Amino acid sequence: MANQTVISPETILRMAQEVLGTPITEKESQLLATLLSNLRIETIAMHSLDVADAEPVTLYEARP
Amino acid sequence: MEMPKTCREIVAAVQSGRLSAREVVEHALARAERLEQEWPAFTTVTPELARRQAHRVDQWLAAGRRLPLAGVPVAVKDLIDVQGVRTSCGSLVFQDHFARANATVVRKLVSAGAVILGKTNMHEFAFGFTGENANYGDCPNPWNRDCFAGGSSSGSALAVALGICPVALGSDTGGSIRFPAAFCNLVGLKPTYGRVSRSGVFPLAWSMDHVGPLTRTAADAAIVLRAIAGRDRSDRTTVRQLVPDYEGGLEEPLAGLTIGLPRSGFFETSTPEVARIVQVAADVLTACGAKTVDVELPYLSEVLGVHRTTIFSEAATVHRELLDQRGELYDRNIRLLLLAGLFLPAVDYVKAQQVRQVIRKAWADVFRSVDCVLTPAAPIATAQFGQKTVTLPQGEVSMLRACLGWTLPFDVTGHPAISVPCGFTPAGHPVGMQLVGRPFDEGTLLRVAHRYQLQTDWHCREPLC
Repeated sequence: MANQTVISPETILRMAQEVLGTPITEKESQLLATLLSNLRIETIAMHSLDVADAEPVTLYEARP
Repeated sequence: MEMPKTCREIVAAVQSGRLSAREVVEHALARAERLEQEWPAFTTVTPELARRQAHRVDQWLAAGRRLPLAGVPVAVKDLIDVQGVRTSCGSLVFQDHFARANATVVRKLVSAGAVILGKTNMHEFAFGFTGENANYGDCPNPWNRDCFAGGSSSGSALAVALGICPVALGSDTGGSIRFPAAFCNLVGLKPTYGRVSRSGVFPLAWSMDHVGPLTRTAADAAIVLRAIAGRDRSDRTTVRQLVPDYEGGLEEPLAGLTIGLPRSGFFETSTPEVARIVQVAADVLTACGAKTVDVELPYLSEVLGVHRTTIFSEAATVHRELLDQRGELYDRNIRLLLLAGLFLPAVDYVKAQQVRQVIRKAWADVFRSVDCVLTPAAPIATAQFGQKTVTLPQGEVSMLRACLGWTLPFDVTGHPAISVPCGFTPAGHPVGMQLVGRPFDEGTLLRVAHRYQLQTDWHCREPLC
Protein backbone atom coordinates (compact mmCIF):
# COMPACT_ATOMS: atom_id res chain seq x y z
CA MET A 1 0.00 0.00 0.00
CA ALA A 2 2.84 2.43 0.84
CA ASN A 3 4.43 1.87 -2.58
CA GLN A 4 1.23 2.25 -4.60
CA THR A 5 1.46 4.74 -7.46
CA VAL A 6 -0.66 7.70 -6.62
CA ILE A 7 -3.52 8.50 -8.92
CA SER A 8 -2.72 10.66 -11.96
CA PRO A 9 -4.55 13.86 -12.98
CA GLU A 10 -5.89 12.08 -16.03
CA THR A 11 -7.35 9.30 -13.96
CA ILE A 12 -8.85 11.80 -11.53
CA LEU A 13 -10.51 13.61 -14.42
CA ARG A 14 -11.97 10.38 -15.80
CA MET A 15 -13.12 9.18 -12.39
CA ALA A 16 -14.83 12.50 -11.73
CA GLN A 17 -16.65 12.30 -15.04
CA GLU A 18 -17.39 8.58 -15.32
CA VAL A 19 -17.67 7.39 -11.73
CA LEU A 20 -18.60 10.35 -9.58
CA GLY A 21 -20.56 12.44 -12.06
CA THR A 22 -18.91 15.54 -10.55
CA PRO A 23 -17.42 17.89 -13.13
CA ILE A 24 -13.96 19.20 -12.30
CA THR A 25 -11.49 21.25 -14.34
CA GLU A 26 -8.15 20.07 -15.62
CA LYS A 27 -6.43 22.43 -13.23
CA GLU A 28 -8.39 20.93 -10.35
CA SER A 29 -7.41 17.43 -11.40
CA GLN A 30 -3.74 18.43 -11.18
CA LEU A 31 -4.16 20.03 -7.78
CA LEU A 32 -6.13 17.02 -6.56
CA ALA A 33 -3.39 14.69 -7.72
CA THR A 34 -0.92 16.59 -5.56
CA LEU A 35 -3.30 16.72 -2.63
CA LEU A 36 -3.99 12.98 -2.80
CA SER A 37 -0.30 12.26 -3.11
CA ASN A 38 0.36 14.24 0.08
CA LEU A 39 -2.53 12.50 1.78
CA ARG A 40 -1.04 9.14 0.85
CA ILE A 41 2.21 10.10 2.54
CA GLU A 42 0.36 11.22 5.66
CA THR A 43 -1.49 7.89 5.87
CA ILE A 44 1.45 5.51 5.30
CA ALA A 45 1.77 4.67 9.00
CA MET A 46 -1.97 4.09 9.31
CA HIS A 47 -2.09 1.78 6.31
CA SER A 48 0.96 -0.14 7.50
CA LEU A 49 -0.41 -0.89 10.95
CA ASP A 50 -1.53 -4.45 11.49
CA VAL A 51 -4.94 -4.14 13.14
CA ALA A 52 -5.39 -7.91 13.54
CA ASP A 53 -9.10 -8.47 14.12
CA ALA A 54 -9.92 -5.02 15.47
CA GLU A 55 -13.40 -3.95 14.51
CA PRO A 56 -13.94 -0.43 13.21
CA VAL A 57 -15.16 2.24 15.59
CA THR A 58 -18.82 2.86 14.92
CA LEU A 59 -20.19 6.35 14.68
CA TYR A 60 -22.70 5.89 17.47
CA GLU A 61 -20.38 4.33 19.99
CA ALA A 62 -20.31 6.83 22.82
CA ARG A 63 -18.89 5.01 25.79
CA PRO A 64 -16.66 6.18 28.66
CA MET B 1 -19.30 51.34 36.92
CA GLU B 2 -16.56 49.41 35.18
CA MET B 3 -18.02 46.62 33.10
CA PRO B 4 -17.14 43.19 34.49
CA LYS B 5 -15.06 41.06 32.17
CA THR B 6 -15.74 37.46 33.06
CA CYS B 7 -18.85 35.40 32.93
CA ARG B 8 -18.75 34.88 36.70
CA GLU B 9 -18.50 38.61 37.38
CA ILE B 10 -21.30 39.49 34.96
CA VAL B 11 -23.64 36.89 36.43
CA ALA B 12 -22.94 38.20 39.94
CA ALA B 13 -23.55 41.80 38.89
CA VAL B 14 -26.71 41.12 36.92
CA GLN B 15 -28.21 38.61 39.35
CA SER B 16 -27.68 41.08 42.20
CA GLY B 17 -29.14 43.98 40.27
CA ARG B 18 -25.98 46.08 40.19
CA LEU B 19 -26.19 45.91 36.41
CA SER B 20 -29.05 45.05 34.11
CA ALA B 21 -28.71 42.55 31.31
CA ARG B 22 -29.59 45.39 28.96
CA GLU B 23 -26.65 47.49 30.16
CA VAL B 24 -24.26 44.60 29.70
CA VAL B 25 -25.43 43.81 26.19
CA GLU B 26 -25.35 47.46 25.12
CA HIS B 27 -21.74 47.64 26.21
CA ALA B 28 -20.91 44.50 24.23
CA LEU B 29 -22.74 45.71 21.13
CA ALA B 30 -20.98 49.08 21.29
CA ARG B 31 -17.59 47.43 21.54
CA ALA B 32 -18.40 45.06 18.67
CA GLU B 33 -19.39 48.03 16.52
CA ARG B 34 -16.29 50.00 17.44
CA LEU B 35 -13.95 47.15 16.49
CA GLU B 36 -15.73 45.63 13.50
CA GLN B 37 -13.84 47.51 10.76
CA GLU B 38 -10.44 46.44 11.94
CA TRP B 39 -11.32 43.06 13.43
CA PRO B 40 -13.81 40.93 11.43
CA ALA B 41 -14.86 38.80 14.38
CA PHE B 42 -18.49 38.58 13.28
CA THR B 43 -20.34 37.54 10.14
CA THR B 44 -23.63 38.71 11.64
CA VAL B 45 -24.22 40.82 14.72
CA THR B 46 -27.74 40.44 16.14
CA PRO B 47 -28.50 43.63 18.10
CA GLU B 48 -32.30 43.32 18.02
CA LEU B 49 -32.24 39.72 19.13
CA ALA B 50 -29.70 40.50 21.83
CA ARG B 51 -31.78 43.38 23.18
CA ARG B 52 -34.95 41.28 23.21
CA GLN B 53 -33.20 38.50 25.03
CA ALA B 54 -31.59 40.92 27.51
CA HIS B 55 -34.98 42.45 28.24
CA ARG B 56 -36.42 39.00 28.87
CA VAL B 57 -33.53 38.13 31.20
CA ASP B 58 -34.19 41.31 33.19
CA GLN B 59 -37.86 40.32 33.43
CA TRP B 60 -37.00 36.80 34.56
CA LEU B 61 -34.69 38.15 37.25
CA ALA B 62 -37.34 40.59 38.43
CA ALA B 63 -39.66 37.59 38.81
CA GLY B 64 -37.13 35.95 41.10
CA ARG B 65 -35.47 33.42 38.78
CA ARG B 66 -31.87 32.46 39.26
CA LEU B 67 -30.02 32.15 35.97
CA PRO B 68 -26.54 30.58 35.78
CA LEU B 69 -25.62 32.75 32.79
CA ALA B 70 -27.70 35.82 33.68
CA GLY B 71 -27.04 38.52 31.13
CA VAL B 72 -23.84 37.03 29.73
CA PRO B 73 -23.30 38.06 26.11
CA VAL B 74 -22.25 35.07 24.03
CA ALA B 75 -20.98 34.92 20.46
CA VAL B 76 -21.74 31.79 18.47
CA LYS B 77 -19.63 30.31 15.68
CA ASP B 78 -21.45 30.70 12.39
CA LEU B 79 -22.08 27.02 11.84
CA ILE B 80 -24.28 26.85 14.92
CA ASP B 81 -27.94 27.67 14.28
CA VAL B 82 -29.63 30.65 15.90
CA GLN B 83 -33.31 30.83 14.99
CA GLY B 84 -34.08 33.42 12.34
CA VAL B 85 -30.42 34.28 11.83
CA ARG B 86 -28.29 33.31 8.87
CA THR B 87 -25.99 30.32 9.34
CA SER B 88 -23.38 31.00 6.69
CA CYS B 89 -20.61 28.61 7.78
CA GLY B 90 -18.37 31.38 6.47
CA SER B 91 -19.38 30.51 2.91
CA LEU B 92 -21.24 32.01 -0.01
CA VAL B 93 -22.86 28.58 -0.41
CA PHE B 94 -25.03 29.38 2.61
CA GLN B 95 -25.29 33.13 2.24
CA ASP B 96 -29.09 32.83 2.05
CA HIS B 97 -29.50 30.06 4.60
CA PHE B 98 -31.48 31.08 7.68
CA ALA B 99 -31.93 28.79 10.65
CA ARG B 100 -35.46 27.69 11.47
CA ALA B 101 -34.65 26.78 15.02
CA ASN B 102 -31.98 27.20 17.65
CA ALA B 103 -29.28 24.60 17.92
CA THR B 104 -29.59 22.68 21.17
CA VAL B 105 -26.57 24.43 22.65
CA VAL B 106 -28.07 27.84 21.83
CA ARG B 107 -31.42 26.87 23.32
CA LYS B 108 -29.65 25.81 26.51
CA LEU B 109 -27.59 28.99 26.69
CA VAL B 110 -30.66 31.19 26.26
CA SER B 111 -32.59 29.20 28.89
CA ALA B 112 -29.68 29.81 31.25
CA GLY B 113 -29.96 33.56 30.74
CA ALA B 114 -27.28 34.14 28.12
CA VAL B 115 -27.76 36.73 25.41
CA ILE B 116 -26.74 35.91 21.84
CA LEU B 117 -24.62 38.72 20.46
CA GLY B 118 -24.12 37.38 16.97
CA LYS B 119 -22.50 34.79 14.69
CA THR B 120 -18.76 34.68 14.45
CA ASN B 121 -16.43 34.53 11.52
CA MET B 122 -14.70 31.26 10.73
CA HIS B 123 -12.67 29.33 8.24
CA GLU B 124 -15.10 28.33 5.53
CA PHE B 125 -17.05 25.23 6.58
CA ALA B 126 -14.54 24.83 9.40
CA PHE B 127 -12.15 23.07 7.02
CA GLY B 128 -9.00 24.98 7.92
CA PHE B 129 -6.90 26.27 10.76
CA THR B 130 -5.85 29.81 9.87
CA GLY B 131 -9.14 31.69 10.10
CA GLU B 132 -8.64 33.19 6.66
CA ASN B 133 -11.92 33.89 4.92
CA ALA B 134 -12.21 35.62 1.57
CA ASN B 135 -15.94 36.27 2.07
CA TYR B 136 -16.00 37.79 5.55
CA GLY B 137 -12.42 38.86 6.10
CA ASP B 138 -9.30 37.21 7.42
CA CYS B 139 -9.04 37.16 11.21
CA PRO B 140 -5.72 38.64 12.34
CA ASN B 141 -4.17 37.69 15.62
CA PRO B 142 -4.90 40.35 18.25
CA TRP B 143 -1.30 40.03 19.49
CA ASN B 144 0.24 40.55 16.05
CA ARG B 145 -1.78 41.57 13.00
CA ASP B 146 0.73 39.98 10.61
CA CYS B 147 -0.18 36.61 12.08
CA PHE B 148 -3.41 34.72 11.91
CA ALA B 149 -5.73 34.23 14.87
CA GLY B 150 -5.99 30.52 14.19
CA GLY B 151 -9.08 28.58 13.24
CA SER B 152 -11.41 27.44 12.39
CA SER B 153 -13.16 29.19 15.32
CA SER B 154 -11.24 32.36 14.51
CA GLY B 155 -14.03 34.89 15.01
CA SER B 156 -15.04 33.30 18.30
CA ALA B 157 -11.47 33.63 19.52
CA LEU B 158 -11.34 37.27 18.42
CA ALA B 159 -14.66 38.14 20.07
CA VAL B 160 -13.38 36.98 23.46
CA ALA B 161 -9.76 38.11 23.06
CA LEU B 162 -10.89 41.62 22.11
CA GLY B 163 -13.15 41.86 25.15
CA ILE B 164 -16.39 42.04 23.16
CA CYS B 165 -17.90 39.19 25.16
CA PRO B 166 -16.56 36.79 27.80
CA VAL B 167 -17.80 33.64 26.08
CA ALA B 168 -17.95 32.36 22.54
CA LEU B 169 -18.92 28.96 21.26
CA GLY B 170 -16.70 27.20 18.79
CA SER B 171 -16.40 23.79 17.22
CA ASP B 172 -13.39 21.50 17.18
CA THR B 173 -12.72 18.69 14.70
CA GLY B 174 -8.93 18.86 14.60
CA GLY B 175 -8.17 21.62 17.08
CA SER B 176 -10.43 24.44 15.99
CA ILE B 177 -11.29 25.54 19.53
CA ARG B 178 -7.98 24.82 21.23
CA PHE B 179 -5.65 26.10 18.55
CA PRO B 180 -7.11 29.62 18.19
CA ALA B 181 -7.45 29.71 21.97
CA ALA B 182 -3.72 29.03 22.32
CA PHE B 183 -2.84 31.60 19.67
CA CYS B 184 -5.07 34.26 21.25
CA ASN B 185 -4.31 33.70 24.96
CA LEU B 186 -7.64 32.12 25.80
CA VAL B 187 -9.05 29.03 27.41
CA GLY B 188 -10.53 26.68 24.81
CA LEU B 189 -12.37 23.54 25.87
CA LYS B 190 -13.13 20.60 23.62
CA PRO B 191 -15.41 18.36 25.68
CA THR B 192 -15.58 14.58 25.39
CA TYR B 193 -17.29 13.40 22.23
CA GLY B 194 -20.92 12.94 23.22
CA ARG B 195 -20.81 15.38 26.14
CA VAL B 196 -22.36 18.28 24.23
CA SER B 197 -25.05 18.05 21.58
CA ARG B 198 -24.19 18.71 17.93
CA SER B 199 -27.83 19.13 16.95
CA GLY B 200 -28.24 22.28 14.88
CA VAL B 201 -24.51 22.49 14.21
CA PHE B 202 -23.48 22.10 10.58
CA PRO B 203 -21.02 19.20 10.45
CA LEU B 204 -17.49 19.03 9.18
CA ALA B 205 -16.94 15.39 10.19
CA TRP B 206 -19.69 13.82 12.27
CA SER B 207 -17.51 11.45 14.23
CA MET B 208 -14.96 14.07 15.24
CA ASP B 209 -16.98 17.26 15.65
CA HIS B 210 -17.15 18.74 19.13
CA VAL B 211 -18.83 21.95 20.38
CA GLY B 212 -17.28 23.88 23.24
CA PRO B 213 -16.53 27.30 24.74
CA LEU B 214 -13.73 29.81 24.36
CA THR B 215 -13.35 31.97 27.46
CA ARG B 216 -10.72 33.87 29.42
CA THR B 217 -10.93 31.64 32.46
CA ALA B 218 -11.40 27.99 33.30
CA ALA B 219 -14.09 29.04 35.77
CA ASP B 220 -16.09 30.59 32.96
CA ALA B 221 -15.61 27.48 30.82
CA ALA B 222 -16.94 25.41 33.72
CA ILE B 223 -20.09 27.53 33.99
CA VAL B 224 -20.75 27.34 30.26
CA LEU B 225 -20.08 23.61 30.01
CA ARG B 226 -22.58 22.93 32.80
CA ALA B 227 -25.17 24.88 30.84
CA ILE B 228 -24.64 23.23 27.45
CA ALA B 229 -23.72 19.64 28.34
CA GLY B 230 -26.13 16.77 28.54
CA ARG B 231 -28.13 14.16 26.76
CA ASP B 232 -30.08 15.35 23.72
CA ARG B 233 -32.57 13.16 21.88
CA SER B 234 -31.91 15.03 18.67
CA ASP B 235 -28.23 14.02 18.80
CA ARG B 236 -28.02 10.29 19.40
CA THR B 237 -24.31 10.41 20.07
CA THR B 238 -24.87 12.31 23.31
CA VAL B 239 -24.65 10.26 26.47
CA ARG B 240 -26.87 9.93 29.53
CA GLN B 241 -23.89 10.60 31.79
CA LEU B 242 -24.87 12.99 34.58
CA VAL B 243 -23.59 16.54 34.09
CA PRO B 244 -21.52 17.40 37.18
CA ASP B 245 -21.36 20.76 38.90
CA TYR B 246 -18.12 21.70 37.18
CA GLU B 247 -17.91 25.08 38.93
CA GLY B 248 -18.45 23.51 42.33
CA GLY B 249 -15.49 21.19 41.85
CA LEU B 250 -12.98 23.86 40.84
CA GLU B 251 -11.57 24.55 44.28
CA GLU B 252 -10.56 20.98 45.12
CA PRO B 253 -6.80 20.83 45.71
CA LEU B 254 -4.45 19.10 43.28
CA ALA B 255 -2.76 16.94 45.91
CA GLY B 256 -2.84 13.35 44.78
CA LEU B 257 -3.37 14.22 41.13
CA THR B 258 -1.03 12.59 38.60
CA ILE B 259 -0.22 14.41 35.38
CA GLY B 260 1.42 12.55 32.51
CA LEU B 261 4.05 14.26 30.37
CA PRO B 262 4.54 12.45 27.04
CA ARG B 263 8.13 11.31 26.57
CA SER B 264 8.01 11.77 22.83
CA GLY B 265 5.96 13.44 20.16
CA PHE B 266 5.08 16.70 21.86
CA PHE B 267 7.71 18.54 23.88
CA GLU B 268 10.87 17.70 21.97
CA THR B 269 9.16 18.35 18.64
CA SER B 270 7.86 21.78 19.63
CA THR B 271 9.97 24.92 19.29
CA PRO B 272 12.34 25.15 22.28
CA GLU B 273 10.66 28.30 23.60
CA VAL B 274 7.21 26.69 23.57
CA ALA B 275 8.53 23.52 25.20
CA ARG B 276 10.30 25.56 27.87
CA ILE B 277 7.24 27.68 28.67
CA VAL B 278 4.95 24.64 28.93
CA GLN B 279 7.48 22.79 31.10
CA VAL B 280 7.45 25.77 33.46
CA ALA B 281 3.67 25.49 33.57
CA ALA B 282 4.01 21.82 34.51
CA ASP B 283 6.37 22.88 37.30
CA VAL B 284 3.74 25.31 38.61
CA LEU B 285 1.26 22.46 38.81
CA THR B 286 3.81 20.33 40.64
CA ALA B 287 4.28 23.12 43.14
CA CYS B 288 0.50 23.08 43.60
CA GLY B 289 0.63 19.48 44.73
CA ALA B 290 0.24 17.49 41.54
CA LYS B 291 2.71 14.76 40.63
CA THR B 292 4.13 14.50 37.11
CA VAL B 293 5.20 11.24 35.50
CA ASP B 294 6.50 10.31 32.08
CA VAL B 295 4.01 8.61 29.78
CA GLU B 296 4.11 7.32 26.25
CA LEU B 297 1.25 7.91 23.84
CA PRO B 298 1.74 5.33 21.10
CA TYR B 299 0.55 5.53 17.52
CA LEU B 300 1.10 9.27 17.04
CA SER B 301 2.07 8.74 13.40
CA GLU B 302 -0.94 6.53 12.78
CA VAL B 303 -3.39 8.94 14.39
CA LEU B 304 -2.59 11.61 11.81
CA GLY B 305 -3.53 9.22 9.02
CA VAL B 306 -6.73 8.25 10.80
CA HIS B 307 -7.69 11.89 11.22
CA ARG B 308 -6.97 12.82 7.61
CA THR B 309 -8.80 9.84 6.16
CA THR B 310 -11.79 10.32 8.42
CA ILE B 311 -12.15 14.06 7.96
CA PHE B 312 -11.76 13.93 4.19
CA SER B 313 -14.23 11.07 3.78
CA GLU B 314 -16.88 12.44 6.12
CA ALA B 315 -16.61 16.04 4.92
CA ALA B 316 -16.89 14.94 1.29
CA THR B 317 -20.02 13.02 2.17
CA VAL B 318 -21.52 16.03 3.96
CA HIS B 319 -20.92 18.23 0.93
CA ARG B 320 -21.51 15.76 -1.91
CA GLU B 321 -24.80 17.21 -3.09
CA LEU B 322 -23.86 20.81 -2.39
CA LEU B 323 -20.73 20.42 -4.52
CA ASP B 324 -22.94 19.36 -7.42
CA GLN B 325 -25.58 22.03 -6.84
CA ARG B 326 -23.49 25.03 -5.76
CA GLY B 327 -19.91 24.01 -6.42
CA GLU B 328 -18.94 27.34 -7.94
CA LEU B 329 -19.75 29.19 -4.71
CA TYR B 330 -17.15 27.40 -2.62
CA ASP B 331 -13.80 28.95 -1.85
CA ARG B 332 -11.41 27.37 -4.35
CA ASN B 333 -9.18 25.79 -1.70
CA ILE B 334 -12.08 24.44 0.35
CA ARG B 335 -13.65 22.99 -2.77
CA LEU B 336 -10.46 21.07 -3.51
CA LEU B 337 -10.27 19.66 0.00
CA LEU B 338 -13.88 18.49 -0.23
CA LEU B 339 -13.44 17.00 -3.69
CA ALA B 340 -10.38 15.04 -2.52
CA GLY B 341 -12.49 12.99 -0.15
CA LEU B 342 -14.57 11.71 -3.07
CA PHE B 343 -11.53 9.84 -4.37
CA LEU B 344 -10.69 7.94 -1.19
CA PRO B 345 -11.62 4.26 -1.28
CA ALA B 346 -14.19 3.11 1.26
CA VAL B 347 -11.73 0.50 2.52
CA ASP B 348 -9.38 3.32 3.54
CA TYR B 349 -12.09 4.83 5.69
CA VAL B 350 -12.89 1.48 7.31
CA LYS B 351 -9.18 0.82 7.93
CA ALA B 352 -8.99 4.22 9.61
CA GLN B 353 -11.82 3.25 11.93
CA GLN B 354 -10.08 -0.02 12.77
CA VAL B 355 -6.88 1.83 13.61
CA ARG B 356 -8.97 4.26 15.62
CA GLN B 357 -10.16 1.36 17.75
CA VAL B 358 -6.59 0.20 18.33
CA ILE B 359 -5.49 3.71 19.34
CA ARG B 360 -8.46 4.23 21.61
CA LYS B 361 -7.73 1.03 23.53
CA ALA B 362 -4.01 1.80 23.80
CA TRP B 363 -4.63 5.29 25.14
CA ALA B 364 -7.23 4.05 27.60
CA ASP B 365 -4.38 2.04 29.12
CA VAL B 366 -2.29 5.20 29.46
CA PHE B 367 -5.06 6.96 31.33
CA ARG B 368 -5.29 4.16 33.88
CA SER B 369 -2.10 5.48 35.47
CA VAL B 370 -2.62 9.24 35.14
CA ASP B 371 -5.47 11.66 35.75
CA CYS B 372 -4.59 13.80 32.78
CA VAL B 373 -1.86 14.37 30.22
CA LEU B 374 -0.16 17.72 29.65
CA THR B 375 1.29 18.83 26.31
CA PRO B 376 1.85 22.08 24.47
CA ALA B 377 -1.39 23.02 22.70
CA ALA B 378 0.66 23.63 19.56
CA PRO B 379 4.35 23.26 18.77
CA ILE B 380 4.50 26.91 17.71
CA ALA B 381 3.29 30.17 19.19
CA THR B 382 2.68 32.12 16.04
CA ALA B 383 2.36 31.84 12.29
CA GLN B 384 2.11 34.50 9.62
CA PHE B 385 -0.53 34.77 6.96
CA GLY B 386 0.69 32.94 3.88
CA GLN B 387 3.27 30.90 5.76
CA LYS B 388 3.56 27.40 4.27
CA THR B 389 6.01 25.59 6.53
CA VAL B 390 7.51 25.84 9.98
CA THR B 391 10.98 24.94 11.23
CA LEU B 392 10.79 22.62 14.21
CA PRO B 393 13.60 20.62 15.88
CA GLN B 394 12.93 17.67 13.57
CA GLY B 395 13.09 19.86 10.46
CA GLU B 396 10.70 21.65 8.15
CA VAL B 397 7.07 20.60 8.65
CA SER B 398 3.78 21.55 7.04
CA MET B 399 1.56 24.17 8.63
CA LEU B 400 -1.09 21.51 9.27
CA ARG B 401 1.28 19.49 11.43
CA ALA B 402 2.61 22.63 13.08
CA CYS B 403 -0.80 24.01 13.96
CA LEU B 404 -2.94 20.95 14.62
CA GLY B 405 -0.51 18.09 15.18
CA TRP B 406 -0.89 18.25 18.97
CA THR B 407 -4.66 18.73 19.06
CA LEU B 408 -6.11 16.47 16.36
CA PRO B 409 -5.27 13.18 18.06
CA PHE B 410 -7.89 13.89 20.70
CA ASP B 411 -10.58 14.58 18.14
CA VAL B 412 -9.89 11.09 16.81
CA THR B 413 -10.21 9.47 20.22
CA GLY B 414 -12.83 11.80 21.68
CA HIS B 415 -10.91 12.55 24.89
CA PRO B 416 -11.74 15.92 26.50
CA ALA B 417 -8.99 18.49 26.09
CA ILE B 418 -8.51 22.09 27.13
CA SER B 419 -6.03 24.75 26.06
CA VAL B 420 -4.93 27.12 28.82
CA PRO B 421 -2.76 30.27 28.51
CA CYS B 422 0.62 29.58 30.12
CA GLY B 423 3.00 32.29 29.02
CA PHE B 424 4.39 34.47 26.29
CA THR B 425 7.39 34.17 24.02
CA PRO B 426 10.02 36.92 24.18
CA ALA B 427 8.40 38.35 21.04
CA GLY B 428 5.08 38.64 22.86
CA HIS B 429 3.12 35.73 21.39
CA PRO B 430 0.90 33.72 23.73
CA VAL B 431 1.59 30.07 24.40
CA GLY B 432 -1.03 27.54 25.41
CA MET B 433 -0.70 24.28 27.29
CA GLN B 434 -3.11 21.44 26.57
CA LEU B 435 -4.55 19.22 29.26
CA VAL B 436 -6.16 16.00 28.10
CA GLY B 437 -8.39 13.95 30.35
CA ARG B 438 -10.25 10.70 30.65
CA PRO B 439 -13.56 10.54 28.81
CA PHE B 440 -16.22 12.57 30.64
CA ASP B 441 -13.73 13.84 33.21
CA GLU B 442 -13.82 17.49 32.13
CA GLY B 443 -14.04 18.29 35.84
CA THR B 444 -10.41 17.33 36.42
CA LEU B 445 -9.22 19.40 33.48
CA LEU B 446 -11.16 22.44 34.65
CA ARG B 447 -9.93 22.00 38.21
CA VAL B 448 -6.28 21.82 37.12
CA ALA B 449 -6.70 24.77 34.75
CA HIS B 450 -8.44 26.84 37.42
CA ARG B 451 -5.75 26.10 40.02
CA TYR B 452 -3.11 27.09 37.48
CA GLN B 453 -4.91 30.36 36.79
CA LEU B 454 -5.05 31.14 40.49
CA GLN B 455 -1.24 30.87 40.57
CA THR B 456 -0.56 32.83 37.39
CA ASP B 457 -1.90 35.86 35.56
CA TRP B 458 -1.18 35.08 31.90
CA HIS B 459 -4.91 34.97 31.20
CA CYS B 460 -5.32 38.51 32.55
CA ARG B 461 -3.13 40.03 29.87
CA GLU B 462 -5.04 41.76 27.11
CA PRO B 463 -3.89 42.77 23.63
CA LEU B 464 -3.68 46.48 22.89
CA CYS B 465 -6.71 47.02 20.66
